[in-house]
Amino acid sequence: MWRRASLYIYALAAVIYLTLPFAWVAAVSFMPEREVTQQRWWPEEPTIGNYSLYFDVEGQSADVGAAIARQFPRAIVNSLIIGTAVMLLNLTCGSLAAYALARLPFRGNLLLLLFYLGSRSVPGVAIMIPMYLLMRSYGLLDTHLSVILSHTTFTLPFTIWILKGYFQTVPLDLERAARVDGCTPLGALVRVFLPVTTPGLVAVGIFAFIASWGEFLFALLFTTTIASRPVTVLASDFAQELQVPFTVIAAGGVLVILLPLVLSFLFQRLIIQGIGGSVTG
Amino acid sequence: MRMMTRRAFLQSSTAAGLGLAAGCSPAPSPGVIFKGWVYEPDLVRENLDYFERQTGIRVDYNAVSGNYHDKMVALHVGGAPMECCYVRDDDFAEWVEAGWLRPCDDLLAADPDTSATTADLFSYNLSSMTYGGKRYGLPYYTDFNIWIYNAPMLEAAGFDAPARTLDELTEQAVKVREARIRTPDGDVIEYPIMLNFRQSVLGFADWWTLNYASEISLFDDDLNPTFPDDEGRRAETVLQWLTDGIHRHRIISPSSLTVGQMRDHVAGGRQVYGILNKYDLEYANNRRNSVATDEELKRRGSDALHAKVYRMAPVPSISPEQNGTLGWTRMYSLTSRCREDRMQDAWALMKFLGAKDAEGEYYTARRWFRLRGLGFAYRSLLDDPDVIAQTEQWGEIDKIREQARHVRPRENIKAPWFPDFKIYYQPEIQKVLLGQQSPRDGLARIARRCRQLIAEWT
Amino acid sequence: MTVLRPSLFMSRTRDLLPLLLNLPAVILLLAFIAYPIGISFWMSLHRYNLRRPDQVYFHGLENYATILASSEFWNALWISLYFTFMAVLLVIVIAMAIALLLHESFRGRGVVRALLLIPWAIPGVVNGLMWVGLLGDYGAFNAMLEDTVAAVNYLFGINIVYTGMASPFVALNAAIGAHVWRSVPFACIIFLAAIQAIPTEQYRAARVDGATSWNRFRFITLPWLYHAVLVVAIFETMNGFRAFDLIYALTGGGPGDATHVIAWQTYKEAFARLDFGGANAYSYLITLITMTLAIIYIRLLYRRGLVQG
Repeated sequence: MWRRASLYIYALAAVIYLTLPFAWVAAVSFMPEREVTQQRWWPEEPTIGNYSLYFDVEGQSADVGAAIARQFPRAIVNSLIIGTAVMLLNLTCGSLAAYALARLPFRGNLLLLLFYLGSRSVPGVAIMIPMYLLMRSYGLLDTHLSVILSHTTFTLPFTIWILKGYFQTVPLDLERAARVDGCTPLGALVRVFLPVTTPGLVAVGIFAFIASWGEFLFALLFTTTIASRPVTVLASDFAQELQVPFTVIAAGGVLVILLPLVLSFLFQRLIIQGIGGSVTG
Repeated sequence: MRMMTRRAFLQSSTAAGLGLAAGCSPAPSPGVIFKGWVYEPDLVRENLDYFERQTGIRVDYNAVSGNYHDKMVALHVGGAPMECCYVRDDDFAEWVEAGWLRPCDDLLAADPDTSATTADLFSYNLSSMTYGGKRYGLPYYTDFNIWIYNAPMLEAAGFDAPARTLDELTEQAVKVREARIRTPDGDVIEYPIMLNFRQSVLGFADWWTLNYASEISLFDDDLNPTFPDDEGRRAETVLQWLTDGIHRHRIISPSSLTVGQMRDHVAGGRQVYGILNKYDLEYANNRRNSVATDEELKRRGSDALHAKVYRMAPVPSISPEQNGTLGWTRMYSLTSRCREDRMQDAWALMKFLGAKDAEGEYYTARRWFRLRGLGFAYRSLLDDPDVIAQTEQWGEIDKIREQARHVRPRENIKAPWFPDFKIYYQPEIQKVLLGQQSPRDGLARIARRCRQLIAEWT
Repeated sequence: MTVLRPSLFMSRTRDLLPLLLNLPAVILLLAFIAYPIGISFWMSLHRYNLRRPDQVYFHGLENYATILASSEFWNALWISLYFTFMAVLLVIVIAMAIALLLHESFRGRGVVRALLLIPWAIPGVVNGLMWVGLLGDYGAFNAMLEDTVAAVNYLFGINIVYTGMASPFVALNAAIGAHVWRSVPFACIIFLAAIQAIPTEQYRAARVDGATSWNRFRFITLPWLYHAVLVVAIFETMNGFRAFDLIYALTGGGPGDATHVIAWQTYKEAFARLDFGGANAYSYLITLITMTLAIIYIRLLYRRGLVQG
């Protein structure tokens, strides 16, 4: 009995720890401006006014920051395009490479692994400017493609790493059986292997999508107009507009978080299984 | 076989690269390319629309997201096409040294109408737009710092005027603290004074303001540091006053080291004294933004938009006859990549934005003042009846005129080593304010570093 | 790139398929990362300050020597080591605690597990703004800390002055706390999987032997988690040394130089001083440090692997 009770107290503490900071932001997004300075945890007179700015697509509002808020729907579409493309690129390039690393013994696989790891270990500040010049010379600035490619390069090593670990947990017998049935290695990959490894694939896919959705520095550097600008960059524009109240910024924050949150809730089982399984397998 | 594979690999990757490059070369822009930081991009666009109607010149305007300085560095290094951009005085020397800006003396010389506006500029603005004897810009907006106090609060504590000197201020602020004044939200004000000493790229203006108030020259004409042994060791005195204010007298909030948006703090009625940009006085005295003003107007039963809750005064100084403050400038400049065939169009745009429009009006500067209260660089506007009427809603034009006569830009802002100095002195001053080193030691260390930098850069 | 030396790879046709499968990933990375990495390393060997476009020249390891001789570097390294050590430690402890909880069966476990992913799903920019809000002067956390200190003062009759983020100690540790919060979910997922992989017979046997729950944790759970802990340690060490965005938003490097971590110093070299030579040298020093630490961890992993046979 006592054990039960302490378990629930423990669980409550964990829930508070994990949710409190974000819960505060969510609460602030429903507060009138004045209540923020009163160090409250809960809105006294809740309002949805902070959100209305973002849905005022007609743009009649003369409010400060309305110009940026109006671009929100476009920016969300941009983020969706970029995130989806990053996810797909990660899954195709990543599963091919990881399959080879996990299953086909060949010379130099350790070197390749080190190359993947090494490409991830140089701080972003160092490669920002050269990468910008590169995108410029490819003529990719202010296109979705520039953001997609840069996000793919820094999510891909992680994807390969995780998928390689996950693939290794799949029993060899499965493929052997498929090969006996006359499948080529590639056929074995597509018909037998991928279906079994769905949790791992979903996990890294969502992981790549969310990482891309939340990335800021490279997206900021490569985009200049709403033709390609994703939602994180727009959110920072907002914070930059000095007269925008914190309550409105909080509402924007909640809107930006919404999709990753829903995704991680929907796929939590697969994410935990996929990521966790790969590392310990 | 081996060679073939390698060659094929190289060829295909090169081809892929070239293919991408060839496929996506961007179309040249149809107008004058103009970039600025994100501030009211809608209003900027409205101004530009007016310009386009007036002149028939098209402007390709784009607000640059994120940290303006950093992103512009990338754009300049990458050689992004651009005719004209905003420049902060903080970055001015750096960008000229890097070769990114184009002087406009030749264009001014060929344009007597615009040249004539130069005489109308406040001298600190003119000097902030000049480097190595060359003129690089026309003013966007500009302002100087003012000392403000909350008049009703001071009255409640039994004072009808703010202290003039630093010593008097210590005495008065201690009494104000002891009077346990409350904010509109009912909290006791523990520290009557709050200043902005947060580390940031544009930070520490308050340090300069307090020094200039006591008429301290921190650098001589050759930009060598004069502190810590400046005349009467005044720089040290000011810093000592700040440190004592935080630790000994507890009149200056320690949050001064962290708070970014001073204006909101003031508008919340959470402090009695402070330093603001002059134009932020409008914000603090506007009930839409300011709880302090709203409460005061409610108390009076007035439905006006403004009340002079916060008032300006000379910045407290070591002795009462001293008067001065810091001013800063934001300007429009032509870039060194401005296309020759667009030069005249770009200059027309510069004129419209930073001086007079086709009808001879300071159109843009006036409009910014009217809509957002932004400061302007032209003296004559201070005598404009509309400007006076609008200012009197929230401030006092006479005091503003008086203060405007004693404005200085940072002396070393135009040293090529200013960026290096900037990242060094802020932590050092903060360490003084934290009590980790004495004011004298802190100043001496900064001076030593300055001399190193000077040696490095000459 | 020795990696692509054909003799290493192409000598047998058997090796061709795995290489082909790796080709898309390798091409992508070579085209978009290898070049910038190469260029930035090359820059680190040059005197290259953008403010002096006419004075760009090769000067070998000079930038590295200058950095190693500067007090700013050692100060920043020290702060980064503290930051990283505390972050790794706290992430492991907190993530482990939550993973152990999630391993128990109780009603509402699914909810807790779903909530676990919240910190991870929040984009970095929003995370920064959020902590600024929470720990700033109006922040609810700030108020809570202030009240706590006041209560402590009252209870023990002492007089600690609470100055919030203006205190170097509070600022640095608050930054660590915020950094840790965001890192916990990932570590927790890994721990959870590792715990679930422990054969239950071992626990049963231990219970039969009358081992206390602490001893069961100490002698069964922990050894099984060794691998997972090291994996988390590698990731968190890299993240800790790279922490920048949050500090930029939260403290601006202050107060004093309390939060001048090494990534911050790098950023300032690049974008405040426009010294691209020096900034890139800083970057490669960070890389060197994290790679060294990673190799130490990996060696530990392997040694352990050999022991377990």
